[in-house]
Amino acid sequence: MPPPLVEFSAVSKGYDGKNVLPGLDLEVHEGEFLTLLGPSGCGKSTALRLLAGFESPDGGEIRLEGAVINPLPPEQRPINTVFQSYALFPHMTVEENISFGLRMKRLPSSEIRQRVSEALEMVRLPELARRKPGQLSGGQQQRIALARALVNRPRVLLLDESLSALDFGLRKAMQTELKVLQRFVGLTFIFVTHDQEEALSMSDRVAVMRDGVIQQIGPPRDIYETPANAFVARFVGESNLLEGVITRRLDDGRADIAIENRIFPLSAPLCLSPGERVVVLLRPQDLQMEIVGPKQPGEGRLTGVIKDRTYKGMTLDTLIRLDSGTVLRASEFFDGDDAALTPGQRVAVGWTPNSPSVLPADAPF
Amino acid sequence: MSRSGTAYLWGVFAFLYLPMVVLLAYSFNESPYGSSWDRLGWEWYRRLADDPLLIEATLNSLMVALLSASLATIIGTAGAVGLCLYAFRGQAFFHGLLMVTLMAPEIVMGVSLLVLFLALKIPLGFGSLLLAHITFCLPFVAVTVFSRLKDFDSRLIESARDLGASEAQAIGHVVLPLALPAIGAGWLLSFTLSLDDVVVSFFVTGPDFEVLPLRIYSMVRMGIKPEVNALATLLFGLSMALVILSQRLLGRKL
Repeated sequence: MPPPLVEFSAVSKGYDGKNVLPGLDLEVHEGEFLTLLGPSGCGKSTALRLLAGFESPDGGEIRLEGAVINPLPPEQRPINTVFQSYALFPHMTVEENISFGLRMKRLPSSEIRQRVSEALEMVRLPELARRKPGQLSGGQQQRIALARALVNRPRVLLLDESLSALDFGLRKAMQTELKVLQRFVGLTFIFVTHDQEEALSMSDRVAVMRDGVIQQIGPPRDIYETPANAFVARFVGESNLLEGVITRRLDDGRADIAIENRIFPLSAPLCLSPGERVVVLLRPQDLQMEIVGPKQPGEGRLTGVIKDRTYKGMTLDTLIRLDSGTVLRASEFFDGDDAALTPGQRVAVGWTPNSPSVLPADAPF
Repeated sequence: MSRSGTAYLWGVFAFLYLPMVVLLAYSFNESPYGSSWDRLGWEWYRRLADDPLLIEATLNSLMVALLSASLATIIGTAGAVGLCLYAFRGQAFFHGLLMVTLMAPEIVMGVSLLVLFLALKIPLGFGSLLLAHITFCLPFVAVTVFSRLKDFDSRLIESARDLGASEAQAIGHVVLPLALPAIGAGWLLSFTLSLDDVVVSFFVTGPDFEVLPLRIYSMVRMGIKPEVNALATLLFGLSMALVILSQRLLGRKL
């Protein structure tokens, strides 16, 4: 197997005594679309700035194609960045902006012209070549910033919250466009975002970060379906998290877990032993509700009262207050004639088989 | 605005501009005595052109203004770029020092420069005058350019570096072009300051190098001659034009 294209090993960085990255290990492979996902301050942007060369690490090594690049200034790294604010040069035309990198490399002007027009074609804005950035819309500036980076044919393209400044519709469109473009040019993209939906829909792999530490890294589906801990579960997708305690291990990989004063046999990682505190993750779309009478115990399920029903177009969201006071969110596809449940009704809440994930409770909020 | 408000505003402007208006009017008055109004004419402007001492002083002033404005602009811009782009110990302190020189009373500056020149045995004349003018123009340039640089996105420089520009190239291709209006405004401001400085020049120039404001000063010591009105009007016009130009440069958007 070839060495990873980009490799962070034990890379640390602190500012003013605050340790932003305590020691990051990360491998990025050729042609991959990797997203660093996390709340603000989790160190994802710092990791990107270290790779671009705008900051230098306090310790550890950053390697590109096996060679350590720690001492190289940004201009000597075959890596380009698309900034959140785009950072287009306001005094230059679109054409001059895109050709900037090539001019710095002193390429022959015929080649520069050729490559700039290709780049403009690629982002489908050839007619804007002579405009100034101030005359462009946000979406156009975004694409020009992308063209300005890609025209240099970098080994890695870094995107720092690059879609955050766009409005909702445009952001959706750019997500698709970016993914298509990445496939088309076959480049390695490292994308930084705090938007979990963006991360899941575009990436080959997602690394979820918290306090400078990668909590989980893997394909979007793994992150969503089998989160490594409660933090990842809560950060990625809508979730209901219930606290529980393992009371007994069963032989088939399941364990009896006490949740809300009831015992449920759920499949749980073997590393969890009786007495251990856990968090049970229930995705809203996996919950099923059934009306029960006031005295019915709702066997094998949780019981509560419907607090609220919200129509969301595609789905119908229900808030249920459990007997313990905990509030669950359930989400079902709206099918028109399903208006039987109304606020105030008592329901039993169950779930589709195998849907709850049992996670160690080691990540308090 | 209310009527009294409008009247107040006019009052303030009258207070500010009346002396200038009087000066301007008298410069076109052909009567040799300031007190009476004779008739409109160019007499005093004509006489200015015939005064060789005055012409020499004017040329000296223009030369010093050009040189000091240009040198102060180069040094001040470099200082502002350094102060803005790099984080170093004492950054705030240096910025504060800059503001102090901006606010320092001219007479203090004049006296202290004189003491310094005497101590260093620098002969008083063109050289000492030029140094002094660069000194008091410099903070104006530095502050003007600094405030422009402070406002722009530091990502622009990073982005230039990211695209392969060295530090010097990033400054040359991105920072300086963007700061150009402020650099121009700083130059114009310096030129104006240098051209009409009396106090500092009085202390630091020598007997064989006379500048225009000092020439005017010595002319009015014997009583106000009508030529001075004409000369002052010309100077006022030039300063006004330069100040307006510099404000327009600064007002231009990025």
